[in-house]
Amino acid sequence: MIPMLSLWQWLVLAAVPPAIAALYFLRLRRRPIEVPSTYLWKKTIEDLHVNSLWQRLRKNILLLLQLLLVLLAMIALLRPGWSGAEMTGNRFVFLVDNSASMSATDVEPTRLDDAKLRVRELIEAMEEGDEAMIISFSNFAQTVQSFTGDRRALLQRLEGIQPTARTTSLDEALQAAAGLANPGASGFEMGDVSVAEAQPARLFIFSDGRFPDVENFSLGNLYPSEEQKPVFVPIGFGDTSNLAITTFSTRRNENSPESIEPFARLENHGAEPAKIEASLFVDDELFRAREVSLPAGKATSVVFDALEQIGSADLRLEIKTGDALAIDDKAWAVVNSPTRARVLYVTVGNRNLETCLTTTRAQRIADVTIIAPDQLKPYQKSINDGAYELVIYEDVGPLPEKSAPDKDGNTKPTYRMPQANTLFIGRLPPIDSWKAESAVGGPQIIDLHRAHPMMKILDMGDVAVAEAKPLKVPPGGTTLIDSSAGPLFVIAPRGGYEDAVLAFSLQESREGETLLNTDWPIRTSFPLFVKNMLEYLGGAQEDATGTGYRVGDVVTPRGVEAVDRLTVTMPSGEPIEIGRTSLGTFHFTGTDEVGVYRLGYEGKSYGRCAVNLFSSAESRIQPRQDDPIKIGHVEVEGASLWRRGRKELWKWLLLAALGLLLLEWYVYNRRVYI
Amino acid sequence: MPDTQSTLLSPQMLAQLERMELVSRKIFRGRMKGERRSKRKGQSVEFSDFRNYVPGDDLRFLDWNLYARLDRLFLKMFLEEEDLHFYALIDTSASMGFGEPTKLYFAKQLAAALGFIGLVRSDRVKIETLDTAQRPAPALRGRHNLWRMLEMVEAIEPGGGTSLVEGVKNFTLRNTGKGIVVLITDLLDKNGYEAALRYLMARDYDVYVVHVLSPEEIDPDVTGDLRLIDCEDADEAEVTVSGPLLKRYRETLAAFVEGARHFCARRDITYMRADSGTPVEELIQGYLQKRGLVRG
Repeated sequence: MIPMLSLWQWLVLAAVPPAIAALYFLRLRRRPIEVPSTYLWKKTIEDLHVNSLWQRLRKNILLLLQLLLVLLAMIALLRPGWSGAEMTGNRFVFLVDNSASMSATDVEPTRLDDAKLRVRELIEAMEEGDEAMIISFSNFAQTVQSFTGDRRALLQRLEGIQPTARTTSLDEALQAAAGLANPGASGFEMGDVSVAEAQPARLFIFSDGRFPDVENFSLGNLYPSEEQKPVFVPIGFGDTSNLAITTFSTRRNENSPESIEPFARLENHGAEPAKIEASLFVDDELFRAREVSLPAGKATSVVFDALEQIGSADLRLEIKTGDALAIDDKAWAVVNSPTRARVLYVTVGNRNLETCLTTTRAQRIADVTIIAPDQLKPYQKSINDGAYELVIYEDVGPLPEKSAPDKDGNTKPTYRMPQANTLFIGRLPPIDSWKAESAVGGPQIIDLHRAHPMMKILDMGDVAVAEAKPLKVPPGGTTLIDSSAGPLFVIAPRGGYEDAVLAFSLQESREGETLLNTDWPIRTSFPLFVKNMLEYLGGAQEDATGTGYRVGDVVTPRGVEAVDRLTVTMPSGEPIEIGRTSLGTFHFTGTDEVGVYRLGYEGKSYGRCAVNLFSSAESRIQPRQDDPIKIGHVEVEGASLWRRGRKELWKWLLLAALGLLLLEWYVYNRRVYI
Repeated sequence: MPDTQSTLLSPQMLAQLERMELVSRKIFRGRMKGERRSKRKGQSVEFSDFRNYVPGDDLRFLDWNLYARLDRLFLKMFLEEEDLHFYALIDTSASMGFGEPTKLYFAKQLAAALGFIGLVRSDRVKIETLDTAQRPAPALRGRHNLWRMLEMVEAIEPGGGTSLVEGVKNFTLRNTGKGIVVLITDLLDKNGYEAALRYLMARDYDVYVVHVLSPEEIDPDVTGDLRLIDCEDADEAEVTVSGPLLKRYRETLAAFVEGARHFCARRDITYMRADSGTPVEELIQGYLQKRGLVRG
């Protein structure tokens, strides 16, 4: 381990031996004087020795000083000290918050460094046989170092904890800590053999405490006894103010769709009202600057002038604050070129759906090709190559493929599902997992899965269905529309794609006449459903402003054809290659920096996305000090008085020894007599 | 008069000293008849005894009154007037060279003054130093030898490895006669002065010790961090002179002086402490007269 000394401390240390040597050169210079006889003087000094009460002591004062010096040095070697916190117990779990707010600089140099310092002190105060574990946590927890008694390893790993721009959640960190402290809890049955013996450990949380309480968690062995209560060490100063951008996005003007309006929400987490300048940059050029007044503790919305005729651009909003947390003083948004979904609609003819798919609005987000079932053959190849994002089959299915006859000589048709999302209307996909019941008449729609993007803002209470074949939900499927007879609309994953199946036809041809099977197409919810479908299954982005991501979100680029690798350029300029997953999709999880990420493949730009903090909780950086953290039923109070783990004495002892050395030198040279 | 008079003894002083005489508390038999009557059997009795006349006795001492009354011849015996041996022993160690005027000068003045008194009274005067390397000085008698004595005294210089004990021992070996010994010294001998005084006592001298100290020794005017160098043996003493230490020094000095005085008193040695800063006349006329060495 490298001793943590700064340069000047080393210099001071290095100067001590020469200083001691210098004492020999600095011997007291005495003025020589010739006297008749030193007899009387010597007698005087002797007399002093003889007469003084202290004579014995003084006779040996140098010896005594030397003994004292050695004693001090020995005591210093024993490294005496007293613990500021009671380090009872011999297993410790250190949870170190490295979320965005821990980058605040109200504690020099940063809160995270302060937290590390305190953990280091605790580690150094650990005794022989003690074990500790370090977990860093933001909204996801990482075991930096599992249980070990090796202080060197602990310190090294501790130093390796890097600040992140993520939000905070204690939940996962507690799970990770409990996994080792309460191994029994991970056993599934009573008979399971625990992989490790449950050993109690003491929990130390180093954080500013800006995370939600953890209600459904039992500390178990992490709260072994009253003496070994979990300790929450609040990091940071309570009166720290912070100004933050908590939202920055763009929206298309409803009246003139060509213009894009940037808007932002600014929050003042401080006790003083503030007046700040917000500057909007477009592709790094200053576009607008506005002065914004922020009342104390309040939020303000800011809308900027519309940007006209912008194809694609990076927008950056900056506020000049000079506050403790810099990460939320900048925000990014991107305007991408609109990406239109390529949709293939296979139908025998449905005026209602065709109309909905060819409105101006729909045209803006989707490029819809409508074909009849008999025209399907020439498209088969491009369907299989992934040229479409969405294929809609209405009352038809994919074409069967030729296959070799089996042993019995029967030729069983095999089907190949498109390399795209699909929507089957009134027909089951030709896969074994999809099953339907026999037709029932007049099922009543009783429930919608409104949280699903496909179902958002839909109201289907006024929709009647004449006849349907209720579906059996395949594994992994989700019921989107449930009825009195069974699920009517189900979506289920297939590899990297999703298949949605509507259990009833929209229309029926009977004796040359086209009859509606349902009145849905004439309800207001239908065009909304079509739009949702185009956006969700087609991956279309109508507002063209790019999805705003938050730090830690997973970016899933869609509609990328025929390449195996994507290159993501981080805001710092570092390129990262990602490959297709086994499901055929791309996932990028490394959104740990804020800024604009650029996606591209084979040298071509594919798009961009902006990643921001946008967390009111993180921007509110005043540490939690008064209200305790609730973990299950336990309230962990902030140990604000708990400062240093161990008060070291040896430095002062050595300093005293050095002073004593000087005194000895003085006494020796001056022949000091009291 | 030789020109030495101006340095050691001034004419006024000589005039004063002329009237004085040296007194011994002990009875000494001089070799020659001197101008003094030696004391015998009590104070102030000049007549001593009668004895039968034997032929050859001085007829002048016959007691004619007794002869008339008893018709027998008796010889009056008087206290014989005899000369006195006066020795002045001057310590010439280097330490005597200190002071303003030097202690040695003071010693020489004192020795010369006392010697002068002796010469005037026809005593045998011998002024010697403790320096064993020097030739023994001749005994002088008679006023006419004053210049010689002064010349000799004048020539005394400090220095030489003079040990008090050795010097005194050497002196006592050479001078067996009894008499007055005035030892003029600063007693600052690391080997101690006691042995030296015992040598003198053993010879039954009438011993006077004049302890000469310079004002610098009595009240040192030094402060600070000092390395004191002994002028005789180059011995060093490192001291830091401060108020308390000076106080201690004075106490030590007082104890030293008192020790010497006590030592002398117990051995019937007359001890006198003299400050080399005071004029010699004062010492002789005041102190020595009081202590009975001189009678004016």
